[in-house]
Amino acid sequence: MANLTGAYAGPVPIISQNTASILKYRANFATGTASISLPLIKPGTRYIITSVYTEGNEVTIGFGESAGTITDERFTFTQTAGPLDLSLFFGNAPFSQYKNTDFLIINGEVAKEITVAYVEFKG
Amino acid sequence: MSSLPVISANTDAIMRHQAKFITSAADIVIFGTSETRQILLALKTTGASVGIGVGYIGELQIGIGDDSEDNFTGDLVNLPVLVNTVSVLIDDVVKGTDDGAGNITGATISAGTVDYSIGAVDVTFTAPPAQDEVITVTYTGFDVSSYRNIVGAAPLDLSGFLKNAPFSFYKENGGLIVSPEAGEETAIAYIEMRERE
Repeated sequence: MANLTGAYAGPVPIISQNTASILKYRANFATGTASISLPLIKPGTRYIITSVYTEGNEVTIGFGESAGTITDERFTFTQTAGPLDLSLFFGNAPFSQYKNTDFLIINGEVAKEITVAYVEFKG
Repeated sequence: MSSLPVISANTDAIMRHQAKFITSAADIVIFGTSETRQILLALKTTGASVGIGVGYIGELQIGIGDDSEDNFTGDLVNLPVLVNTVSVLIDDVVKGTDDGAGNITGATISAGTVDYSIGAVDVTFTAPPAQDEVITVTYTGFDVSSYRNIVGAAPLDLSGFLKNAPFSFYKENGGLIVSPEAGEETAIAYIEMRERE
């Protein structure tokens, strides 16, 4: 293969036998300034966070009863300066913790945009 | 094979084996029971290097009092030794601790040092321990065979590396230790499984 003139491997990722799964467990995306609050309003609804990216320098994830206010912190990370990309981190270890409360909250640095990808899950 | 991230057949497993998260600017030490194994899934630190391995809470007897000898030495075997985990005891009573900079201090210790890298301990008491009193050192250190110090550029993200190869070393009675550079914030994700699960 290495000696075959003109051999070319396309850089475009191929969606193959996983396509059905990708569609079944469709990723949702949410973007907010400094904070994202996902309402846990449906009985049994859980969210699996698979990617987090922010132009700010910090991310905190937890649960709370009011949008934007975390009262039960489950994850935090701060670095000197943004942007902060935790996509690989949560790609390996999706945040799948659950609590019977009103919101799953992702907070970032003040005035900085934050984006998360998550999957809705019903056990 | 798709190179896209997929939540698919693994979704149920993700929910069943929920990842735990710890963030700290100091050493992270996780000891379960004797039959639990911690699997490190992801790691991100603001520093440029991090040590990972299985470790133990160790104990070494460095001497027995005879009313005359005031200096005792020994070599700790689980290396490197974690800073701020070294204690010197006489008959199970703590007489001194390390200061994180290689010095062992205490009211009844006139001089004391520990080399965290090679494990050498040297302690001199202000007065010789009494006849038959047992002098020991307790500490936390890495199992040498599992310890790896990974050096890169700050901020160091080992999540991609661990995606291919989760760190899952197991030693009976051992625990997972993650040792970042001093003062550098480090976040880890891990799951804990029973060894005979």
